[in-house]
Amino acid sequence: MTVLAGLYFDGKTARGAAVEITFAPYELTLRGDDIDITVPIATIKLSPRLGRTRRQMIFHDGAVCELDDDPVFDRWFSENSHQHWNLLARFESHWGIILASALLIVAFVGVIAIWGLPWAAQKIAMRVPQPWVDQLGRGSLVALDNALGDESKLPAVRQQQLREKFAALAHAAAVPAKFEFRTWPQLGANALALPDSTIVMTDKLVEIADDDRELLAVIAHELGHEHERHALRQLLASSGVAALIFIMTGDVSGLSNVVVVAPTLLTNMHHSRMLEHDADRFGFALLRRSDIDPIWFARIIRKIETAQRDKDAGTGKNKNGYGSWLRMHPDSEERAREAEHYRDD
Amino acid sequence: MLDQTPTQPVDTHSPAATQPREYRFRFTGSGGEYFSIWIVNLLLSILTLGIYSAWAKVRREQYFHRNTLLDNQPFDYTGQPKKILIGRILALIVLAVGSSLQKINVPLALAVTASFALLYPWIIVRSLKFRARNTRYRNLALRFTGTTAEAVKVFLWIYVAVVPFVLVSIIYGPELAAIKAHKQAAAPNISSGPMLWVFISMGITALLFAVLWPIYQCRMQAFLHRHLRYGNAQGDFDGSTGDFYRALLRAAGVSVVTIILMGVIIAAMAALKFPWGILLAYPLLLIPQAAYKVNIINTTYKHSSIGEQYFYADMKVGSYAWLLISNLVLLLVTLGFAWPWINVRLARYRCEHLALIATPAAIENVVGEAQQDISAFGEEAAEFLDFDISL
Repeated sequence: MTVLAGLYFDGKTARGAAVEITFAPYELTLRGDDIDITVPIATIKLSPRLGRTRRQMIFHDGAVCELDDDPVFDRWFSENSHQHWNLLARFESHWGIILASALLIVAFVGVIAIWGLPWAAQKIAMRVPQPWVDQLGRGSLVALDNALGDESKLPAVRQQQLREKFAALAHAAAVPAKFEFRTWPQLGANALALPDSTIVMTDKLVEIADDDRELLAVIAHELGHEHERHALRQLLASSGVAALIFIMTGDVSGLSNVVVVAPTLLTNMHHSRMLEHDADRFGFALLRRSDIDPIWFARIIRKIETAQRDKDAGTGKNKNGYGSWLRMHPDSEERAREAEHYRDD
Repeated sequence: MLDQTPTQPVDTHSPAATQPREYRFRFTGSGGEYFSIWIVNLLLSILTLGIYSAWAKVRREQYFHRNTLLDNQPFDYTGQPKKILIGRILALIVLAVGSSLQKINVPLALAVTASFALLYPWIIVRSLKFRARNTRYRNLALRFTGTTAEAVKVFLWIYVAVVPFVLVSIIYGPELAAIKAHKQAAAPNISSGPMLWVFISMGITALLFAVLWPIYQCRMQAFLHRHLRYGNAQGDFDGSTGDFYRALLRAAGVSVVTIILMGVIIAAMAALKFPWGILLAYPLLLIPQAAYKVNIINTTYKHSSIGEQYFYADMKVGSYAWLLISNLVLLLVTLGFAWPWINVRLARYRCEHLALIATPAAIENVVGEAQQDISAFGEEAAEFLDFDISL
């Protein structure tokens, strides 16, 4: 019978005693200086195999005998007791299973990030009471104003005139929205739907529009964002990713933040495009109902695209087109064509 | 496999046995090996909707403990997954409630945060006890004997710093809300008094933080090390606040140099019209972090002992910063899959730069505490209330 070397710790002192381990059917014997113990296998707990770390036999009196991991010993031990605790270790040392696990995890995270979270975010967002949504968005305009300035160069009369037209459209959409104008030169020709039902339009956008119906087409799109609570859904989906990582790894500190970045980016990119598309469809339907041809949306979006390209060319930015693959908005030309071909369905 | 050969017991009366020598900690785990453990842990955690993560944690802790060797003997971890699961569920509830309240009802969120801040010392002590009790070396468990009251005394040093800001917020809170409302209505001529007080109180709080942090660190390390027991060996700590002021001043010096360096890089990149080059400056932010950590750890262990044996840490800012920066790059390049490797690298670095100065006899002569020394009820109650929140 095989003899193995072990180190025996009685659990009363830190002193270790070298022992020889010998086996008989259903029992084993430890022999060393002052030690001669024979115990039935059934009363011993063997620590599961873990990497190449040393194994521990734990006796019922709390004593421990450590020994090197040894497949022969393992086989003998499981033949003579009813413990089969090495399933995990077998998984962990099987390269096929490891590879399959890695692929499964990537696939799972991908599916959750692209479809699962946006779906859950929608279900939750539509059940959140309106006051909570307002509370959530409170301060988002103030924060933007602090960063970008809170002025508009549009004449007050013009602002009032546009506000009335926008309000009529908002009324038709049954969305309680407020409208603001800002210069915000960094944003170019743009409009934003903030979480607190405020829609902000930049002066530049008003400037490049030749017809107020173009602006109404943009507002219809933004009302789509407000109606479907897109800002809240974005927020929920992003925190969902963080929660997912937390549950999976139990770790959201320090460097693991970097691990969170990839799925978050994935969710945001895909989710944003999806939401833009939804807002477009909402906008087109709303325009139709208000007797405005969605073709106005096609016109303004092409103008915005041209203005943006001119701006980029002017500053020398985006010369090589980097960053364009990260664009939040789906391809403008595609959206314009969709507007032109929109039919009620 | 030579590394893993069990040590031969020493004759505790021989002259060699009473001569102090340096015992370096060693880490024998490997990134590849841990990768397979990590990936299986992750998969099972996902398949069980996170429930398995408590068992995964035990397996992870066991891997790191058992690969940490002192005098060729491994540590061990005996945490019970069920208790960790309870701790995690509690933590998740607190986190979820806290963060969602923050977005919805600010006063209530503040109340929850405040009560959590008050509960924090209790939670920390519970979790330290749990961790110590479940760490074993040579089949003897560590013990942590600190109490919540003592932890509160330590935390008071840092709570004090927040007092001015909290007071001003309470006094001027309503007025500030009014100002905010008026500003949105674009009304001019509002007294800037309260706003000024808020800034002053924030300044005082920041200043107090800077001044009190080394004291807090010193008290905290003393609290942690003085209450650690291994068998009949009692942990001790003889660092002074002066030591920690010096440590943090050194870290602050490194931070200043780093910021200057970053400024130079950013300016150079701007001059070269290469905006993406600014990304090169970003990893340098890890240098101050490394300097802080290295100085705190080295200072702490220099003054820490257990029984008659002394610790000694010799981490270096340069090599540790390089470790952090290269880890970050590894993580980014592999989209997170280098996670196991970077953790193994960190563990190995920490172990290789930590030593115990001890006599061979002293290590072997530690005696486990007799069971009757501990009040049975106290132990039972602690066991019942223990959970691990260190995630």
